[in-house]
Amino acid sequence: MNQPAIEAYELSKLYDLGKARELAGGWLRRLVGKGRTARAESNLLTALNRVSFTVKQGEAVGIIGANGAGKSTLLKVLTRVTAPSSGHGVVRGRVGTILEVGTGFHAELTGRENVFLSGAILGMPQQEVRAKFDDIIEFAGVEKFVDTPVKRYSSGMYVRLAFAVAAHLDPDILVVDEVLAVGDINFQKRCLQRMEDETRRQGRTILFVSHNLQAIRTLCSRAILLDHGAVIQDGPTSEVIQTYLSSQKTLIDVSARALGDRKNRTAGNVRFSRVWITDQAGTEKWSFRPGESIRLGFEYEAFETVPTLGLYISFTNPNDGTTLSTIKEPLKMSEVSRGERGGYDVTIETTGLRPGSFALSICLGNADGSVFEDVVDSNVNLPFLEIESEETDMHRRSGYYDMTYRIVAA
Amino acid sequence: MSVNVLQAKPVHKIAARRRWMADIAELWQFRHLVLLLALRSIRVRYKQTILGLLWAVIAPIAFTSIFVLFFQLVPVRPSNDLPYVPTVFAGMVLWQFFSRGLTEAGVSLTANSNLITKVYFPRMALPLSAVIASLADLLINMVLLGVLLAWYGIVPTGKIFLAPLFVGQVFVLVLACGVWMSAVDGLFRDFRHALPLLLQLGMFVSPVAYTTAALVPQHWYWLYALNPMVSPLEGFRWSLMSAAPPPDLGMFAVNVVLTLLLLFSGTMFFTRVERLIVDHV
Repeated sequence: MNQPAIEAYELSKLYDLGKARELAGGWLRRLVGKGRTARAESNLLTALNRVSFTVKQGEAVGIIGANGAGKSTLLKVLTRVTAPSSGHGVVRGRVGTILEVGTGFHAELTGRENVFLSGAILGMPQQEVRAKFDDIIEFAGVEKFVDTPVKRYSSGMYVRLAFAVAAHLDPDILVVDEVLAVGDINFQKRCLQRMEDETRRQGRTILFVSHNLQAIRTLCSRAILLDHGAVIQDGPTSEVIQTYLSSQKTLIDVSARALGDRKNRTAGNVRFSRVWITDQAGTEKWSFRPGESIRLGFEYEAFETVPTLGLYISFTNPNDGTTLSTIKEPLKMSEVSRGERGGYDVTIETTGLRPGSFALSICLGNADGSVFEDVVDSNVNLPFLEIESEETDMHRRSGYYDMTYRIVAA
Repeated sequence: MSVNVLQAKPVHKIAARRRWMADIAELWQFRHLVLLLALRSIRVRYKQTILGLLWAVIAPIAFTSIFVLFFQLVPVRPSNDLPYVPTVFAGMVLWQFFSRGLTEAGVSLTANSNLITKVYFPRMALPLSAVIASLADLLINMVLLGVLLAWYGIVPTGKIFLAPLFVGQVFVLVLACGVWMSAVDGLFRDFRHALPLLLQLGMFVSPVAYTTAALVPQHWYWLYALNPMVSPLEGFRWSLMSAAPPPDLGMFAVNVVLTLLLLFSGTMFFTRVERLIVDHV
C-alpha cells in the first residue's frame, strides 16, 4: 500500500531528428539510387538524460526548468504517451493527464457530447462522467449551452468547459502541464483551488509542470529542477525555485543567436549584441516583487548606416499572446553610421503590476516605427519576466494590475 | 465518492522495450472510447451539409447508375441472368463500405495527431473507430438496398441470415487494411495519394459491377482468389438473391486466410511503429 506512486530509474529520451525523414524516404531513395542516405553527423537531441526520482503517494511535486529543459517530455514518458529510449519506471494508480486544455474537443459537437468524449479520452469511465456531468457543467458555468455546439461558445466558455472536465478527473495521479495558464485568471485560480483542495483531502499524487512559479509554490511542497534533460536539484520547493531563479541567465550575448529568425523578421541593419536585466541595485535576475524597478539594458551594433534609431518593447501574456503594454520611443534622430556601437539602459517601474509571467519582445527600428531592424524575444530564449508574490489568498490579487479603490459604508 | 478504492490500482510499467503484438485486453478496456470516437465521426461527418445523410447514398447510387448506363451500351451481360440493378447495387454498397472505411481508417493516426501526442490510449482505437463509424453509411445503404430488392420482387430466403457473415468478413478486411494503412501513413504520407487510385482500380478487379461467373474465366480463378474482397461480394449477393451463384468455397477459404493474415501482420506492424509515429507525427 505504501509503495511509491511513481518510480523512475535512469529515464532517457533521445529524439533522432533525422529518423523520420530517413524512414520516410531512406529506403526508397536507396532503391531509386539517388541521394546519400548515410549522414555524417547524427541529429540526436537528448530530451531526457538519466532522470531518476520517486514520488510518494499523496505528494505534490512541481517540475520546473527553462524552455526545452525536458519537462514536457518527462510527463509524456510517465503518462506513456511516448516511450523512453532507455531506463524504466513504474506508475501505480489511475493516471489522469492534462497536457492541454480541450484534448479531444470537437468544435461541431455540443457541450454535452464533448464532455463525454473528452472524459473518455482523458481516461474517465463512462459512468463516472455521467455521475459528475452536472458538477462539470456547473463548474464551467455553461448550464444554458449544454446542447449548443462548442464552436458557438465564446473562447472563455470553451476553455472553462474543457478545463472543468479535466478538473473533475479525480485520478490517483494527476499530471498537469502548463494548462492552468489558459483562460481568464479568475477561472485559473478556481481550478488551482480545486486541485489544491483535492490533494489535501484525498491524498492525490500530483505532478505539475508550470512556468507559474507562484502556482508551484502554492500547490507543491517539493520540486524538481530540470536542465537539458537532467535533474539538477530535487528538494523543498522554495529551495529549488531559488536555485532555478539564480541560475537563469540575465546577461545574454545575442550577437550570433537565432540570426536567421531575426533577419527573416526584420531588416537587420542594426542588431542587438547583448541584452541584460537587473534590479535597481544591479543584481541580475528575472524575477521581481511587485513595485520593484526593472533595469533593462542592451547594446547594439550597426552593420549598415541607418537614418534614425528607435526602441520598441512589448510585454505580452506568454500563454495567450495578449499584449499587456508597449513602449515605443525614438532613441536617436540623427544618422547611425555603419560600425557604430552603443547601449541604453531602460528603467521600468512595476508598480501596480500583479504577479504573473510576462514575455518580453525587444525591437530596434527607426524612430517613426516604419522599419524594424532587429527583434529578440523567444527566438533567443529570452526568459519570462516574473512578478512574484508571497500572497497566499489567490482570489485577492488576480488580474493584471492594481486598481485604486475606496470602500465606504453607504 | 471514490469508485476505485476496492479495485486494485492499475500498475503501469514504463520501459524502452517494444511489444510485439497489440494489447487486446487493453483495447477492450477502452471500448467506450472506441464507440465515442466512432460516434464523433458519424455526428460530425454530415454537419453543415444541406443533403445531410443523403450523401451516404449518393456515391453508390452514382456509381451504380454509371455502370447500368455503361452496360446498356456495351453488349455484355455482366451478371448473366440476374437483374442487373440490384446486383450491382448490392456489390456497390459493400464496396463503398470498404472504400469509405479504409480511407477514414488510413488517415486516422495522422488526423488525430493532436490526440496521440497528448494523452495515452491504445492507438488501435483510432483505426478501429473509423471503421465502426463507416458502418453507419453501410446501414443507410442497406435500407436502400432492401427497397431496391423489394422493387425487383426479389424475396429473401433463409440464406439472408448468412449476409452478416459476409459483411463481417468485409469489416475484418477493412480493419486489417486500415490498420496497415494508418501505420504506413504515419511514417510516410505517400500512400494517401495512391489510395484513391488503388481503390478505383480495386473496384474493377472485384466483382462489384459484375459477377465473377459472368465475366472471369474459370482458369484465372486462382489469381482472382488473391483478392480478398471477391468472396464476401459474391457471398453477400448470393445470400440476398436466390438466383445468384454461390461463392466458390475454395476461394472463400483462401480469402478468409488472407484477410486474417493481413489483420495479424498489420497489427504487428502497427504495434511496432506506433511509438515511432507518436514521436514524429
